[in-house]
Amino acid sequence: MTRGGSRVATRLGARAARRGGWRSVLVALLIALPVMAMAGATIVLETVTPTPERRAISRMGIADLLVMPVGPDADEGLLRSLLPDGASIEPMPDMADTALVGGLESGVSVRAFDLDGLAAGMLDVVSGRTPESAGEVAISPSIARIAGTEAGDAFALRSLGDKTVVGIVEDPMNLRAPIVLIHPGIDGPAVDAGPYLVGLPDGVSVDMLDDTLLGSGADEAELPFWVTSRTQAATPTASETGTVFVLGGLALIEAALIASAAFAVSIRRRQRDLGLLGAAGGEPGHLRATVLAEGALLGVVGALAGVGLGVIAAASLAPWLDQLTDRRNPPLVLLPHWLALAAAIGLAAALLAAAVPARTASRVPVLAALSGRRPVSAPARRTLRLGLAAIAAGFAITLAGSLYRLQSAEGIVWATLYLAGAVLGVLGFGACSPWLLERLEKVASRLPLSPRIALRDTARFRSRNGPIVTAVLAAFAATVAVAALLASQEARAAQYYQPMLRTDQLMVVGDGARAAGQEVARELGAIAAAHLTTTDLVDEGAYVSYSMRIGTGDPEEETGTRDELHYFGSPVVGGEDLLMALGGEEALDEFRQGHLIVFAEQEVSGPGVVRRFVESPGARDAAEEIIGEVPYRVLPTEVPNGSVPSAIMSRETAQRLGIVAAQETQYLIRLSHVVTDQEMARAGAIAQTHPQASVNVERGPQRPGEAFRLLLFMASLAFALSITGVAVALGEAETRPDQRTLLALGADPAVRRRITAARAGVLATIAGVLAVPAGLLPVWGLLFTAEAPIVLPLPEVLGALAMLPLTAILGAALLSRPIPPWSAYRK
Amino acid sequence: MADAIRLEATTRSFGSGHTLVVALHPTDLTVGDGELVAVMGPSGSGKTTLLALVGGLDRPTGGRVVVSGQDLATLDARGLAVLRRRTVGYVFQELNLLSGLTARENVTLPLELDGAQLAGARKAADEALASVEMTELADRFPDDLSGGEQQRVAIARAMVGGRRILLADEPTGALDSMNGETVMRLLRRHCDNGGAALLVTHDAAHAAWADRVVFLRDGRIVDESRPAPGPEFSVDRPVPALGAA
Repeated sequence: MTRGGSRVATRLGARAARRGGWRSVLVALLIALPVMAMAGATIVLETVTPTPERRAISRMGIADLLVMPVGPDADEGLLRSLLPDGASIEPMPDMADTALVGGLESGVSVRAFDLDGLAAGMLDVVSGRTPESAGEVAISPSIARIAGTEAGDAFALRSLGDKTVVGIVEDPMNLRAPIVLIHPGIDGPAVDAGPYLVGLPDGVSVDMLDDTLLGSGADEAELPFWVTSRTQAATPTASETGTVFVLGGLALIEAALIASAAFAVSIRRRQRDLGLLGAAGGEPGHLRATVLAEGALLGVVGALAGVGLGVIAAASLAPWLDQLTDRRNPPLVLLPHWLALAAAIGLAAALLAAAVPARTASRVPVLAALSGRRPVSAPARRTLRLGLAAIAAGFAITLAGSLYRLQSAEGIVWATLYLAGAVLGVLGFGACSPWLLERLEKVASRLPLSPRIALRDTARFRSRNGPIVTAVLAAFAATVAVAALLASQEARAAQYYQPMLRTDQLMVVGDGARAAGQEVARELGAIAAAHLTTTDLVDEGAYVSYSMRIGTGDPEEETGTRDELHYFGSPVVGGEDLLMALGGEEALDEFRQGHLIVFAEQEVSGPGVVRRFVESPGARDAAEEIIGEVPYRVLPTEVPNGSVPSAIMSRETAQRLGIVAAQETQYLIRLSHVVTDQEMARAGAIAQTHPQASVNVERGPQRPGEAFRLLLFMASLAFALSITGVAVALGEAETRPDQRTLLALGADPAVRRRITAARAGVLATIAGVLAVPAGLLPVWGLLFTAEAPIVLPLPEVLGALAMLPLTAILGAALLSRPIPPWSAYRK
Repeated sequence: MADAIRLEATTRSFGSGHTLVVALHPTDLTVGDGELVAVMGPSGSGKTTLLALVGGLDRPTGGRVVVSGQDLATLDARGLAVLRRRTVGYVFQELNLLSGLTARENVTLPLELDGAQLAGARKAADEALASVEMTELADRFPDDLSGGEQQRVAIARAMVGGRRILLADEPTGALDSMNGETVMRLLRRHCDNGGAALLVTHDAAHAAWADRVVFLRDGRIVDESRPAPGPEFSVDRPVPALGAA
């Protein structure tokens, strides 16, 4: 293209952008907002993220080494012997103490640094000075606030005694840290030595140091000191700026889809102009260039506005950054290359949005454009093929991510693959929407007037509506994905969940369990309640425990008959009330006859023996002996691995076996029904009145994600509705001639509302339906590696699928206007 | 011959004070049943304003407009819409048809808006399309029709359901002479069958099809004549072949 041609294209594109009105504002805003977020977030992150040097200063001041003594006899003398002559060593004791001032107690960190020495920079003097004698301290602002203390006031430490505050100091990397700085020369049993700050003499580098100190070639477990060099302390952490740009890029893809629809409308409105350009000798490249010029201009405006707004937003937040991060941050860090990148991504998104409409504009025959006729839409079959290919590619990339994840813990690679797969999936399903719209057009003739017009318009303008459907489905798909993932994880957790109690039981624990338990049982009308009396005890220093073994088989075998043996540890001793509380009333007769009552998941059979284990101090293994073979009765249990015991014997049986009932522990209560929330609250209130007593109740697996999922669906509904609103508004721009005709034909002006509402409903329905498979694709990938099934929260998804079009219809009907009066159409 | 349209000292002005614009000075005009009246005049003479007043799309500032015996001042907006659905048919110069509806569906539009059953509406539409010789293209969309074909469909829609009065605002302005003549023949036939039509046109040849020609200038009727049509203005002359754009 010649320079003159470019000039014409730019001029026409700029004029179109200026005359675009609210459409141009919309496009610029769609670009500006994500750019603003990227720029602002980058500035804030770069500002609050400590530089490596700052991290090093925070850990070790200006020292060359930070040395931690770990071995026996690792003291300053040994360290000095391993260092070259001229090296300086400063201990850096850091101990915990309690400050006592005005009746308030507060835990503090006592540090003995010389802030003029190697520890320079580790703390900053905010006011006053550092302590110069044993009776002086400097304290942090957080302590000063709690204690109401200023310089010159008295200050008492529990271990170090009374001091006088001479200054306020703070840790610039942790403003809330409660610090007390004492003079480094202070002696006293409360001040421990080490770690050490080490300054190397000039000309000596870390590499020159003794291997005994650094550990090269030596067994690290035998080193007396752990040494951290300045380089190691300054190791940068993973940057989050990349994440910001990934998220911003995704948001801009969404923005580009919506902006693409706005460009399509713009082209339609100036189709005749483009036809005139062609008639005057313009080539398809010129026509493309006018649209791209419009996109570029709006992209530049949006990008620059976004960067500017991002800087303003970051600057507005700057006064609170220290408070939010608990760090002393430098002035805002504006890195031009990040801001330029954010702007460039925004501009690229705008050009991407204009690309397809530009191509469309360049392919309209000149005569058709001059006549004002709508260009023939490309067959939807082509985009369907593209869409299916993109879905297949998304599926393949997601699978690749899963396979990679199985082999490597490198998160960035598989996360990128999942993200790419998800984006391709969404774009692929979106690309299938024009074909769906084309199919739906065929049923339009059977519909009443308003939905018929809406469906026909939506289908015939599918090149404009396709990107809108994709934008809506992207938002909804993300919600479906998160909801499905959370639901699947909850289902998996529930699958492996082990209840601790039966649902009709309460367990009171703690020293006050008996008194509290009896009161709770009375208050709630328990059908059984009793103390659990353990058989485990400590006897003359040895730990004694019991276990029941049932079955036939040789316990010495590794497999085979050993697998027919079943073990039930720590049987309890009690009466019939405890048996009832455990739910074993069915075996009351056997219990009275001296049987052991065993609660098991499965049927067990064979002889039952009770074994005693004695773990003596110093002994390698516990001594085991069989103290008796006892009859037993097995009952099924709902709580195989819970808090309740798996076996109970009567006091007589225990006596007969020589088992001593040791001590009462918990108090078990059983109701005649599932414990209600009110009963649980009442039991908790009673327990609180008894010192050191609390109540446990079985509540089943928690579903923490439910509320969050609902919130997500609401948010995505709102977002999808706003995009649908944009789409409908864009569509309205092209229906002005139809509105005039309808008015002239005597249509009720409200028919416009009905058509608009139907149009919104069609777009929302198609987007919602396509969003479900699009959202499940990444979830499949994530759960593939865990071999876990996908659980789709059907009620929530179906509810949202119904709500989406209904709300779109309602919103469009409420917000759209009736056909304006005839005066609006006067030339 | 009953009066299908009667304007009695009808005026329309816009604005007030020093911005007052009188689009139509007090005008008296009648159009009887079976009569085709052409309105001619330069741009800004008030032709389109006059048409809009008759069609109930605009309200006069003074005087009366009586259509089919009904004083439009007594009708509210809803009543005027009903008037346009059942009594008055409009044909514009271009962009007459809804692009999302087929030719048949465009013709059934006023009937559907009036609550007619679809089957009955389609039957009436087919009859109307047959009268303008557009039966074979009934399922086409407007973008697939030529300009002349679109105007035929627009006329069929204006006549469907037995609507008596046709208001045509330069219906031949975007057509070639052959298609323009076809449109005029359809209007003429409608009036010969008892209907009435008010036609705004710049083309004297097309105005010659009318029973009367009214000349407007600066919002006033300045002249009126009765053209004497020659044999070429005969509804019996064969209709040109379809498809000529």
